[in-house]
Amino acid sequence: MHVFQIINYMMRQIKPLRAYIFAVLIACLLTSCRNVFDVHPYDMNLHGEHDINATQIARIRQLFDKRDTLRVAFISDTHGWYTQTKAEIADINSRNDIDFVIHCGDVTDTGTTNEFRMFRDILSDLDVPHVVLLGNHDFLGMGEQTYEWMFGPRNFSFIVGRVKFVCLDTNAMEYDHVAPVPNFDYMEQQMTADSADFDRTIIVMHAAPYSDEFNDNVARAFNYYTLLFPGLMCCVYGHDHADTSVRIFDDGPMYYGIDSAQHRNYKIFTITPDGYEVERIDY
Amino acid sequence: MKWRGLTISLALLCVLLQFLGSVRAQETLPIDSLINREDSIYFMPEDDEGVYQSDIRLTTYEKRVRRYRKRWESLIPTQFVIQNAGNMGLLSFGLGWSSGKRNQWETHLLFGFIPKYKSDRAKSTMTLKENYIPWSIYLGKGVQLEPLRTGLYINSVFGTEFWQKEPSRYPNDYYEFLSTRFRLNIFAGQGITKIVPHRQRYFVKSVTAFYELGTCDLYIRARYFDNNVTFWDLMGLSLGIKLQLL
Repeated sequence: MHVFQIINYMMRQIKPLRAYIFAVLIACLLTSCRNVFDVHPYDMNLHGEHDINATQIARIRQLFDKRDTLRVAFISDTHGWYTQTKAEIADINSRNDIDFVIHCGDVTDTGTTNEFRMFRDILSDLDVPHVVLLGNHDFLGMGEQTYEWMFGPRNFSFIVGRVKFVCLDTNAMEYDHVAPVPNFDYMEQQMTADSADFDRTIIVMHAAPYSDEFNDNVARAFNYYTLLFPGLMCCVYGHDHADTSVRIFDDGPMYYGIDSAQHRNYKIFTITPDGYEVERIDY
Repeated sequence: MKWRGLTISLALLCVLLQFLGSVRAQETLPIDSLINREDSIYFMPEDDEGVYQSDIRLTTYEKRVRRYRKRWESLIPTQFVIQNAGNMGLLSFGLGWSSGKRNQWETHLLFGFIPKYKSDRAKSTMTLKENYIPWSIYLGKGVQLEPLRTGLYINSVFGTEFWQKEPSRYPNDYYEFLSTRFRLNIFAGQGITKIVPHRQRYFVKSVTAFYELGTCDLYIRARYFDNNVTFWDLMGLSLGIKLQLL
């Protein structure tokens, strides 16, 4: 009884502000769908488009699967540089010769929900289909889960024009080297999965072997596994913020490094039945 | 380590402010005021020209005890606060201590929760917040306006996904910012207070509704890197209610 008296009394005391309190409660309810209230930088309070990679892969396969020549733009490490990323996307849109885009990871700087949301907004301006890999910066805080919700699994692959693109999570340091990264089981499975539909392979990753993120203990084993893929053409990676083309292993494939958005350049790969050509684009 | 040091020094600062506040708040005040004195748990007149003046001579011991009580009394929370958003969780609530001559300093200890949303679980947070309210304008009818409330707070989010300082697996300063667990926030806002008249007072002395516009270190960093960041991506709105208990 006493408790009820207290509640009753308190309700009477706050009477002058009842409308305000009501407004606050309504505002709290609206929090879930407004950008105005920041619940927490890592709240994952997200709505709208998610599982983007799966949707975009379906688009890529539908549009270009019958092609024998593919023009693929590789971009990477756009984290934090929104102005440059917008310019990069505008540049890709202004060219009419690009079929689809692969982002090699690091879409956020600190893995916050806000940054993922802002990147998704910028990316949605891209006219051509696109897929996004997981970079080491995207792990921070709740970043890894945010990536999985927004883009999809950390390892994924797709076949277009009889070329298989195998996209791998190689950020071993983010797991303190205790998780199976790179995942050899996944690689082994991808060598043979849908083998009737592809003759050649391109492997895409965020961190290249012997970079600070890679599990260097398995670098040579990784090279061995890549060579088992049918018709391996090359590997493409980001992370280093440098435009490179190197042969990391003497007996291995070419590795092409994609520069960061900060340096305002990206690469276009033209894949023909005879091989491929790499072109650097400055914007 | 820097963060831990900062947290401890901020906490010490808050405690210090409480003591300073308790020492200062010794003036004669109007009836409907919000200052702590009238609610003091000891009630013997000190220097008042009361009827007992001639009868009471405090010994050194009594004076000391009185001072001792008064200092510890300053640790009794004087406010209850409930606040939404502000990078502290969907809803946070906790206790507050007001101090200073005009109650212009406030220290809040808040506990908040972050719903699950699209992640695998809900999370809880803790916040230590220091407010500064430079002016309080009495508008009449027991209503008081605070044209500015500003300050800073440190928020900590609980969960194994977040680290206080970079784990040893990373080379030194691999990620330039300091911590994924601790966030330093700054804010500015306004408030309006309704003072509950004496005869209606039961538990609450006054009720304050306030709003705050704030941002955290990560968002400032993003803005510093690239100015292509919209206002609401940088700033967040927070609404709250404060009940003044003492």
